[in-house]
Amino acid sequence: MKEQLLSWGRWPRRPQEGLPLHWLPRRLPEGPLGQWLPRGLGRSYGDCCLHSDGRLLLTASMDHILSFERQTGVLRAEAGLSLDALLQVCLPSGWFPAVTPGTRFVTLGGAVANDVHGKNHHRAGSFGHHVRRIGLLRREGLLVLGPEDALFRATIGGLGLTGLILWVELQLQAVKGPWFDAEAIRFGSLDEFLDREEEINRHYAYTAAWVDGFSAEGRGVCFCGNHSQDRDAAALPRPRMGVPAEAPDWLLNPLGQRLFNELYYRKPAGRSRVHAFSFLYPLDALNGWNRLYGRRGFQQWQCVVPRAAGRGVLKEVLKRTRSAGEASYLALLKSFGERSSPGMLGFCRPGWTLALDFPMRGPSTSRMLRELSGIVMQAGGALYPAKDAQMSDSDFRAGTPGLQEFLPHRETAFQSDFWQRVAGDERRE
Amino acid sequence: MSDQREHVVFGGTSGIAMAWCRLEAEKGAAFRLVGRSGERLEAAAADLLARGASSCHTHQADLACTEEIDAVLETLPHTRPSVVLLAHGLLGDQAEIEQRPALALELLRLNLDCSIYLLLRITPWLEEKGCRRLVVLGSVAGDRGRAENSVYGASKAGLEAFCSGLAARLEAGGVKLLFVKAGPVRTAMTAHLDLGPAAIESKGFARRLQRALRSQRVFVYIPRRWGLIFLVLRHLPFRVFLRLFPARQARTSASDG
Repeated sequence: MKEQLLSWGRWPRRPQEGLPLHWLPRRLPEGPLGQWLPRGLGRSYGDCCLHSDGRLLLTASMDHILSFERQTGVLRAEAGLSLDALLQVCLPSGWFPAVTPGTRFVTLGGAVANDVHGKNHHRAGSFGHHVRRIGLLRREGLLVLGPEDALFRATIGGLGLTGLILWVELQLQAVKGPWFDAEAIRFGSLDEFLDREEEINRHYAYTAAWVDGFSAEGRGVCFCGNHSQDRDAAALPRPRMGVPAEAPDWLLNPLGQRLFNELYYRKPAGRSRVHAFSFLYPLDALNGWNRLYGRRGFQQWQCVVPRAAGRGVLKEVLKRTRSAGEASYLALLKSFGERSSPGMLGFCRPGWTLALDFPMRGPSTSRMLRELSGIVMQAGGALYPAKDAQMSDSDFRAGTPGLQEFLPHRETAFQSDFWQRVAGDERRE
Repeated sequence: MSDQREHVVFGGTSGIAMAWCRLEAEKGAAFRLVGRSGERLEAAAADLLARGASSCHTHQADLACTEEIDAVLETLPHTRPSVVLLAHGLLGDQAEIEQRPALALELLRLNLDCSIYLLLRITPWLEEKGCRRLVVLGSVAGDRGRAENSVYGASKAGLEAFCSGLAARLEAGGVKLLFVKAGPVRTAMTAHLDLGPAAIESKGFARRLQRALRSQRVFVYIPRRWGLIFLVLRHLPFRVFLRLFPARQARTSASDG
């Protein structure tokens, strides 16, 4: 049963085969070495959720909540539970995920395996910082792990390669209601933003800036917000719309991109009270927005660079995309706080992080991404596996100091396209 | 025991039942789940409680066995039912059944014989205690048999015929029946099948079921479009129907599996 299972970037397109799981298995299914890869809702952009030579263990239906203590905000659920389903349960009783990425359509297992981060990284760290326990199924059986275990730290950000995460126990954060006090701050240049960012971060728990990739100065808008202390709720977020089909390729021309960015920059700035879903998950309102990039798909690319070298590198990267004529629709810039990822392979570390997306135009896009990566790696930065389909093995090694520590913890029954690409030979000491 | 009416769900761990129960749990409903696997019942109960159910009791029973049905019903007489849902059933693998016809009896026993037995057994209880609705899960497969699922289809067609009569009997006793003819739904039962683009998710099915429960109709298709489709399919001449749904090549035992 070969089905159309793609990654969120819809590139590369390789046929995938899946085995859906509905109840917690007692044992890993049989198979040769490297046969399996767990996959949740497939929101990873690149190929870390693909396994072309094996089969995917589809976990999205494995979604029972095992326990939820409404007094303490401790929730334990099967790994296939989505943040969307979790929010439906916990928000009415005043609890919210301590960390959430830019979409609520990810599973808990996926959030752990990629150690995802959100707009509040400078305050809260990454998803893994709020995981209390994990139930991990390996060849040898079920292991219950906590932050004191090395295997726990291998599993956080472990890209699903240390075993099948059966359940996750989270500490949620208390909130008064679903509302955010939000502010949009326009800035005329990258320098202006970088100068003000520290101050903005002191006021707001959630911040991220959009940068206009076409503007030479690097103008943009910083979106910031705090959980509102007011309870009163009136309007619900708009109903979701869908993108029914892949957009035609001619829609993705530089003129259209320029127009989009101009309109985005001109959006009214200022303060407002908005629902958490509109503030945190603007793109979730558009089902299947990834299809807007057409049949050829798109490339996400996210880097982190140390703060000291940051300013120059960010400018260089944005300049490079402009001169290649491939400026990004959504260039997002944010600073990571001092809490590095608890995971051995974790991506989050102190510094600036920049996320770009480009329509996949073939070799020219790949070439440009290689150049961008070169700039970042030279400055001692790293690339984000969850948003990557092209990183070289040397870049992965250079950006992942915990790799050697991680290798002994791999579950040999598991493999992924990403891992084969960046660590195919797995040199062990 | 509280005064709250409880949803009584047979086949309480099935994908469709679970999806509907979750929606009801958010409204604070109380549940009694009957199912075969104690472990799964426990997981389902914990999930419903975490989602806001006010209570959830579980009863382990093999609903293909009349003694076990009797034993479960022994525990129910004091329960005041809200919605009673029959969601258990076997889909069966037609090719396998054709190899081993005894499997057809197993399927019919659960889907048809014991379901009718169960319905007959609970009728007096429902009439005595009253209930918001008795829901029986059927399938569009019962509307016109196709080569690939004729045994399953026959079981659901038989169940529908029985429920048509039961609805009349219950109506006199003040109980309303809802017979749902389900189109293809993505659940654990159908995970191995290629259902095509018309299939819906169990959550969407559950929402439509909630809507149907608010209406007064007795026989409904979920999703509704299948009513129109099968209105046409039922009346097609057999030769035309055969062209649309040809029998696949008979499998030999060597190529089986």
